[in-house]
Amino acid sequence: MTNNEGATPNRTAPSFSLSPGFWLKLVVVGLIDAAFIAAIPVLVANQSWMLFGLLGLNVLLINWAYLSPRSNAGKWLAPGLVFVTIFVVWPIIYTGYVSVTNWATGNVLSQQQVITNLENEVIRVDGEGTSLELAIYDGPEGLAFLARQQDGTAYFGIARQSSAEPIEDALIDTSGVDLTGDLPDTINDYTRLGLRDLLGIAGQIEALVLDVPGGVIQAQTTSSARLIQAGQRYTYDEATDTLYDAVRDVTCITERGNFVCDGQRLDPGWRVVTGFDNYQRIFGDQRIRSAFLKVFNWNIIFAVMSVLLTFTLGLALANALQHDKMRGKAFYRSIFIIPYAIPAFLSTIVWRGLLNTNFGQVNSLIESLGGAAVPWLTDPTWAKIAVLAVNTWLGFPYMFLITSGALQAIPNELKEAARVDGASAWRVFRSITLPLLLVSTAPLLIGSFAFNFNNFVLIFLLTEGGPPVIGAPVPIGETDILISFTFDLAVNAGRGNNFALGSAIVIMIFVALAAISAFSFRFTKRLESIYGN
Amino acid sequence: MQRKPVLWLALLTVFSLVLGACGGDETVDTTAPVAAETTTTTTEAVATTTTTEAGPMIELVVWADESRAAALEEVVPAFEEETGVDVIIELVDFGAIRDQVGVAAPAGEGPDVFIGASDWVGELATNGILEPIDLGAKAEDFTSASRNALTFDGTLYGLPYAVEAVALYYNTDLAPDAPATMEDAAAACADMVDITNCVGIPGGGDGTDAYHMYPFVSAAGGYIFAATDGVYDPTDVGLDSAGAIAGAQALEGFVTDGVIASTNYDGAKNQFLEGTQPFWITGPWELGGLNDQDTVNWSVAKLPKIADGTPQPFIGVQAFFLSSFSENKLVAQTFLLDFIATDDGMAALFAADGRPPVYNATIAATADDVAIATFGASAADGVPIPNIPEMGSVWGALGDNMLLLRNGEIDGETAMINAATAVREAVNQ
Repeated sequence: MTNNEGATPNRTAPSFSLSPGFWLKLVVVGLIDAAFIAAIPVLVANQSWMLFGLLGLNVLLINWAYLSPRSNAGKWLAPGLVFVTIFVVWPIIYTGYVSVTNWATGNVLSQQQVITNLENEVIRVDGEGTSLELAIYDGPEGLAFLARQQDGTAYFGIARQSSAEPIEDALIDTSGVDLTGDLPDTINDYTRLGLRDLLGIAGQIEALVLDVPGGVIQAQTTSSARLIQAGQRYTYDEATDTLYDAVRDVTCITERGNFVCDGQRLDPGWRVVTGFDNYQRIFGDQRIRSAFLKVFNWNIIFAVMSVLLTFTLGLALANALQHDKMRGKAFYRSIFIIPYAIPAFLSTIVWRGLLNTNFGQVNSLIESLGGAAVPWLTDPTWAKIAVLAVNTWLGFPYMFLITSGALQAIPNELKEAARVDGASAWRVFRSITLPLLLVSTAPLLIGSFAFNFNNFVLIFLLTEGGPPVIGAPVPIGETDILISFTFDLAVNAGRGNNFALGSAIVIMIFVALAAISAFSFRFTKRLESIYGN
Repeated sequence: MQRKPVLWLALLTVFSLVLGACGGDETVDTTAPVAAETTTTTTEAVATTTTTEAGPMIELVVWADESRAAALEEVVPAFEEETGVDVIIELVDFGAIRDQVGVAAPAGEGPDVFIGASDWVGELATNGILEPIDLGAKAEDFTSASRNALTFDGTLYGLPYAVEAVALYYNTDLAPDAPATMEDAAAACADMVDITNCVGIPGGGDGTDAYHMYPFVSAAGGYIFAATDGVYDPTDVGLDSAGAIAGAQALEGFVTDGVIASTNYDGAKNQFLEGTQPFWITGPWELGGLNDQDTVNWSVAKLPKIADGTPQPFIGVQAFFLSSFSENKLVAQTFLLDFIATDDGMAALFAADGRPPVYNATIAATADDVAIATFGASAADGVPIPNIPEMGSVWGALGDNMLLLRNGEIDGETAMINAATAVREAVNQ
């Protein structure tokens, strides 16, 4: 099929042939379908409905794109669309979903898991004699426990399923058997089971208890047991969606992902959708709002300045290398690429060391020249300067590369015409070169802005957001940007992690960035319509 | 012409169905256990009967980091030999265990047993990931401090095996005798030439570190959350109590006098290793590195007194935890209590890991090792890192304000009041 297409691009309906390409396509699409079908039970078992829908749509798209004769363009777009949905759309949808839940420490399980967890809880008996030695025997009437307290009191009897009714006379008379030293290998016609046999039926033993006066005995390991009260502590009633606590004798109601007993929240809780609480918190909570606005402010400055500085430096260097009289262009070009060639996270760590106030090489140099040590990473203003300087160093080669290319594309005649009209070099640059340059580079500048807006790696590795803001109600740093602030907030919330709140902020960053980008693209379009050729 | 796409469609459908059917056998094989697992986690009874009646090899999955895995490799063969259980040790980076257990365990893919630290207990127990552990008669074999550190809301959640707390490393060439108080340390430094700093402590410069700064909070009676019988009250914040402020003011004095420079972790470490800083406060994890170098002669002592009080460093206890999602709890407890919590098991762990032990027999056996004994003694003075989830708000608030104090930006009283206010507001959310 694919071979034919190049030859007959203008046909209205595809020809049908059993070429190798056709069979290959059939196998690949068939494999994708088969993989999806195989994944369905797993997705259903995990109740991942959103992912199920998304993957289903993608598989449909692939089938349509390679099946339908009307999808010539779809064939080429399909792989890209699939990756966009899986790696871009899906994370955004999922983050949006998390942001309207209560997913935080204490609310990470599903309700079913929480109920299982709570119903497994036993009622402990406090005090002496609750830890016992244990031996397990096999005999005519099933498994029997021999449990001995530290004071020598021993119980021997038939164990029952913990879910079954208590046995009145479970204990068997052991008179005549010496139970003082090592526990015996046989009692009457019961033989003691060895470690290997016991672990083979470990699951069965876990479900067994022995009725004794004052409670039941449950195996803890194969050689030790504990005395607990019979029955489970919590019982869930599905009809009323309530939980009964046998110890406090209260019925706990369900409220926003937790059982609440007498006004007291019971941990663990589970994940539920709680609506827009997290968004309300960002705006309604004075404490978070003031921190959010401060960080947002610096974030804008940081992103704008980063783009401006890298672009200016990159353009200046590119412009200089454009000059006819410039020699050794190739040499300079390779030099300028170096910061771009080293992984950014590596050079960021190196810069952190270089900028250390006490031991950094930068300060050593300044001091040897007679200057005073600069508190690069510990003073609010200097830290901001340091962050911008390092980011400029990391980012200018990219701008240098793209402006070098764009400058070449600007026709020389235009500049010459301006010169003939008597324009100065600066005037030519400002009125001819820069506008034409912006037509082709503006989208890249917007991309660079969006990237720097979320430049977590740089902030996290260079300053960790520091230095701290004095007296801040939420621990924030002077160089924190929204994404690093979100990270701190999500990981170090008031009570453990708060993923839902973090996701809400991420969604807001996304919305803000999308708005700024949309606005900028519109602006770019205008540029294009004025200067575009 | 019009029939062709239909034919095409038909062919493809048939083909994909055939492929689906071919893969069918595998599909059923791989998905059926998954479905079974998810149901068995919800109904314990079914799980236990299926495992016993089918009688397959019992597998016990243990998550450990590299150093602990090496120790376990010595204990595991004996257990496998005696019990026929297959122990699978999976290497997971220590720092990653906490988060990954939280995700993997509810999904049915977590370990039965995992290595961790005492300050994880509150979060993991609140999330419903941890199963209580009953040490029974063996409880007395472990130091009470190590058991307290692993107790959350009155319930013990782990099997302790090692303890960590900071102490004072000192350069025996520069300072032959360990200082008894911070003032002694400052006086000793006054006579030294060519030193760049007197006492190196992480938590200054550009690296916040509430952990290393805590001795200054606790020395004169400050605390983080009030505790009664091991149960913390997150609404009673003691960071701005008189004792905490007194300790911070003492620190402020040493900062102003140049006794304690504003060093981050590496700054404090490097100056000690270069021999230009006589004193260094940090934990036993640096022992290995110091034993491997031969430029500095050193020893270890308990922390010097601060503001006339004995500093109480944070105690972190390393422990084995049992997942509440484990389907082999009896096997796991047998492994932990009958094979790890023994003289041999604990000795093997100490030999491979080298952290100060908490098992009484191992403590007695290592009493001759001055460094280990000193770190043990320092831990005996210490207090457990509060293991409630609210502690998450303390690291940033306390660390940030201590850093500002050490950089000379704010005074001791302001630092503690700001830290306490931030913690209170976070906790009251």
